[in-house]
Amino acid sequence: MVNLSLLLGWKAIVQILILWLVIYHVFIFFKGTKAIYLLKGIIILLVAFFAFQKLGLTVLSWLLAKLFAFFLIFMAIIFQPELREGLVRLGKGHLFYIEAQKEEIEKTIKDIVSAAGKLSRRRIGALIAIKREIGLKNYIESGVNIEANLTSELLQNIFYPFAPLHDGGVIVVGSKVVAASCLFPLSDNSHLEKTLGMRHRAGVGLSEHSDALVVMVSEENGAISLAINGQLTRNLTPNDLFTILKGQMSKVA
Amino acid sequence: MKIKIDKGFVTNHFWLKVVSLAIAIIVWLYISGEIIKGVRV
Repeated sequence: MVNLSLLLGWKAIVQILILWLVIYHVFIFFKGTKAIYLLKGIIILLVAFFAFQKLGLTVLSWLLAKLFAFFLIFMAIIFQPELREGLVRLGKGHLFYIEAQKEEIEKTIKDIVSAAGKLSRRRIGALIAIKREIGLKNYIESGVNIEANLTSELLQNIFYPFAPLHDGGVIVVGSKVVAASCLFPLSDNSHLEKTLGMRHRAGVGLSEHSDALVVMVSEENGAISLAINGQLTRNLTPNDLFTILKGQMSKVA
Repeated sequence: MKIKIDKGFVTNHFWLKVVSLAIAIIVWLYISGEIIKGVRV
């Protein structure tokens, strides 16, 4: 049994808090990526390993312990890009913050709002997702990689009706447009109005599956909408959109 | 002076925070148990 004095000591609390912080950020880092399934698999294997040990099933726990060694090597090879990105972020000191700085965020929001306003006036449909804490790698991979600096003109260009990438959504990370023509999951929320098109359902769907902010412009009436955590706010003016986006983005900055 | 507490600090990814804390406590208990066992041996 664990000594009770160890439980109550400040060192124990500090150690648990650090462990908590690290585990939480590992989860956040992998959420929205394929690696989350691997993480779940590891947790199940660990639980099984501890259960086998406690039950005295020595052969099974020995086998699992040996398998783990191979498993770690495989993991390092398969998830090399993710591990590299994590280490780079750790090196930059950004692991506990979102990548973009405040002025960068404000410029990004201004560009998005400006593009939404102009697209709305011309009744050109648009779907723009802004990544916050949860990764959107699965959705980024479904589209065309761009990795370009975000500008209002670029967004307008992407959604121009005859442009090759105008179908699907754009994903913005920090001050970059990372991908266009991305597929977002459709919302199956029965409370959404039946008149809403696929673009709005996809926008709401993505906001249900992640913490991304999703801006939509209707091609029917040019209305600007915003989806946050599965909630859709419609008929926003560019000023409203700017205020809400700034408020939402400052929460994670 | 008013102290403003952001609700999102707790409510954002609430279950993820709870699960992470549970895992952190279990890991700490297990490892400290192992260490104590090692010291006694």
